[in-house]
Amino acid sequence: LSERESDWADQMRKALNGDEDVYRTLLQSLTIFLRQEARRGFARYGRGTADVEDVVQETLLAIHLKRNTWRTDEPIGPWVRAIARNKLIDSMRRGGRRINVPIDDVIDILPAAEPVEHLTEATAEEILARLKGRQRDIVEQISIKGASIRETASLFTMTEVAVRVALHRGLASLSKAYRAQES
Amino acid sequence: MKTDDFISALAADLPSKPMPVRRALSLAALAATPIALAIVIFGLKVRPDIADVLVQPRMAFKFAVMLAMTASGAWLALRLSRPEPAPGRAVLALGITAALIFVGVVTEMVVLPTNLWKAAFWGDSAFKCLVLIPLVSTAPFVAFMMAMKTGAPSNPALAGAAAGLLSSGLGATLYATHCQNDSPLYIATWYVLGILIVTFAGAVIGSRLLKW
Repeated sequence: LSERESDWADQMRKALNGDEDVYRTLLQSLTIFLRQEARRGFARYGRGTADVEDVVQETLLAIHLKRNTWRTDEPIGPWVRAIARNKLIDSMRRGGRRINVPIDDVIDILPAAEPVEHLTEATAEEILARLKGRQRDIVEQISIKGASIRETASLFTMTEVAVRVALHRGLASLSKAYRAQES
Repeated sequence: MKTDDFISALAADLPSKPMPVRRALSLAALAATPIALAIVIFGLKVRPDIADVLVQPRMAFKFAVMLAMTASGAWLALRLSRPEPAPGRAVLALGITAALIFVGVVTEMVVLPTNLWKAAFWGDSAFKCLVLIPLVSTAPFVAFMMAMKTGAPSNPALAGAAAGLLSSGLGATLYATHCQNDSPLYIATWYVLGILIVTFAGAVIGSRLLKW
């Protein structure tokens, strides 16, 4: 069991008890690891690194939304890697539509009327744009603008509870929007 | 969006504690069991001789098998709700249940004269089971599937199948208080088939519903 992983486990236990600062530190530390993994994974399958940051964010989102599936008495490394692998595969599936074959070789077998698939994966911004009005505003305020829950609440004249609910729903819809890109 | 900014949104959402799958499944059982029980009591009627037969070996065996199915389903559902691939020993529970059924069937074949096998196998309503077990399992199925959505299964189809097994194990346990057929020959065929139908439905629905 590596030192890094036992740090992660400690941090996650503290986070699950409500320590937001430790949680932020943990997510930052996980980001570095996930970025390496995504780069390596993409390289192995001959894909560019354009979507790396997107997979990292999608994986962080999954780790966040599914943090209840880590059992605090078990090592955290396998859990993190399993989520990362899962999200990397999802991304590969979506990216798998990018075919780098000379068009002359396949033009005969392509059905004529097939619509052109979107060629690049949606970035987080594009996904964020799919969120409904207030949810998007709130996620944007708290992420890009770096506002706190309280600041966001007074900005939109909402209660803090309502902001929290909207933020959570926004993140859940974000995860759903990622999934909607598949199939 | 910069990942650091994104982390701010995730950290701000920390108080939104998601429910552990174990608790979600327990709540689902609490919510759905009364409904399934009501269907058995008011819709199908509990067999009148239930108090007398409960202690008889065939009836006891029937309940033991159904409870073993339910327990395996619960254990598998919990295990398969996690992102890490499940270890092979997760299927051990199923093996024990299968062994239990096997022992029951062999015992029945030893104690029951050959000319009675056919009647024991078909019972009085072979296909009724195939309809009623899924029917009684419906409420548990919906509840357990929803509970499984709090998980992050490495294989959504398998996780759905486990939830289906759990639902139909519970449904069949309750249904067993109505059904008059107690021979292991009957149980091993028609009950198991009814349970398999629901388990298969769980796999199909789970493969879509339980993606995360």
